[in-house]
Amino acid sequence: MRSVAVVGAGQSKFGRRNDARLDELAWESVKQAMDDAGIVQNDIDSFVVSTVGGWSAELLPAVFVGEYCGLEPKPTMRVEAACASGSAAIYQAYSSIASGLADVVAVVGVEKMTESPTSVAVELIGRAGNYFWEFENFGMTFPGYYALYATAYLSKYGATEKDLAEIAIKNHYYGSMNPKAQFQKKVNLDEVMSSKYVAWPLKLLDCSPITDGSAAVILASEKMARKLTKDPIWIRGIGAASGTANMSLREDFVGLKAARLAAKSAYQRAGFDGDPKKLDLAEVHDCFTIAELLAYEDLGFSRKGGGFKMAREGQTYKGGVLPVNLSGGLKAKGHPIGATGVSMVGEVTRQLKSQIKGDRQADIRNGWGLVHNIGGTGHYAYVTLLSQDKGGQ
Amino acid sequence: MNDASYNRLKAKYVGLLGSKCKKCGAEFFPQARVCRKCGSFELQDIPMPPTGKVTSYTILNVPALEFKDDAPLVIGYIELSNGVRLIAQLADISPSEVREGMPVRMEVRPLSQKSGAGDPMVGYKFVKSEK
Ligand SMILES: [Zn+2]
Repeated sequence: MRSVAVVGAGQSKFGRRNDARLDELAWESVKQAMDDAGIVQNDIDSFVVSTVGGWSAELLPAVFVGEYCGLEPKPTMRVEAACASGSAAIYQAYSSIASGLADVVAVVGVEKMTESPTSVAVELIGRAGNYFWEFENFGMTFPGYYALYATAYLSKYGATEKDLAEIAIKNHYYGSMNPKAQFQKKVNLDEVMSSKYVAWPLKLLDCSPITDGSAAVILASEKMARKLTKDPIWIRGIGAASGTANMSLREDFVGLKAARLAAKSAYQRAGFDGDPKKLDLAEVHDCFTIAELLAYEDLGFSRKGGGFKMAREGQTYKGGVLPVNLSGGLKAKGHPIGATGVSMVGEVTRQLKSQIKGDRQADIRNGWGLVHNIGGTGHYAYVTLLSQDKGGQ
Repeated sequence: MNDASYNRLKAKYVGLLGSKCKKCGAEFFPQARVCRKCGSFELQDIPMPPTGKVTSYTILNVPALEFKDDAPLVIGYIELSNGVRLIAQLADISPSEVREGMPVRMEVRPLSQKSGAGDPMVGYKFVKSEK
């Protein structure tokens, strides 16, 4: 397989973006990513569009976005893997470069969610699972699925709702420094603990918001990457796995098997031993605070049942074992679901290049970062390892 | 839910009809065509036992749209006595009394308040049981 690098990244402002259509939102990121890579549309061999849709009127988002961004007639497709769609699109782009099919591929993640009524958005996201068995006649919602994990986790390991709140506080703290975040605002323990229960034990401030936004990255083969930039960030390993559609078939509710499998495969490909101290930062999928705790354990940053102690001790702030979600995470940066995975890879790329302004820039010592992106409730899982170092020969 | 969907599902909703592997004996709900344990394609229909216990739960203050008049919903992750697990609404159980380990049994109830009109759509819910 050929080496693949990230050579450009862009992201729109996340939030309620009534000022922009889906294609206009996408263009904001595509333009930035092309400028960052120093290329124009003609340099791009193909593009992959990640969007979940449903709430969007556009049934063919890839060509809709492609035309507006001047990418037609390049080959394209829309990729969907629920909230991990962005990573799935990167996986697709990575594969086409690694295989030799393409040299430069644009990955565009975009989602416009806020113009659907909240109840409709909640309804659509609630279908992310097995529709007939666990949604249609049961009243379940997406927070409800993760709440079942939270109840099981808190009870098995003696963690508390306050430990969950620590995740929200940390991610809002970093989000407050991210000009592209939906919430640039800190929250305190009282505010989190007194927010309304949505699906006990998860409260409103345990949940990521409904967001409009886009993100784009440009991936390139080694030959093209060397031409375009002095500091390519290499994709050293992507691992992916799926989980059962029915939540009831999961082995337990204290971790996501698909995430563990995806991590194992990414680590193997990258030759990474899983030691969190060897990473400079990680962006993990905190659609709910409990999901970030599960991520610490599924990724091997802590032993099973020890994730909440990392949160309690502040080990995932800068200066701790491993800074996690310096972007503000899905929690504060926002979660336009098709854009999230792309935004995570763009964030880690910019972090590894020390391009972030202010205190949320990680200290780059080892030159390694990790992205963990989950679709549904562990229905899809993608883990990507990025490095300044190309590795190998 | 339309009538066709409901009619396809009714036996499973009302009778907890699942599958049993003829080779290794593993049981599944909902019905399966491939054994998740041994890979066999030889499975037969079998009703699941109607008793079990709550292994995790949540209280949905904001349920799916069609259930908004039923809020708060108590949802249980239930382990049946044969070890098979499923997610279901807990009926006649107040949010404050639900506990992990609570013994429950299946009852056939209207699926939602809305499903009372015309041909009633009924299916499994779980209620407290003695043991
Ligand atoms: Zn079998």
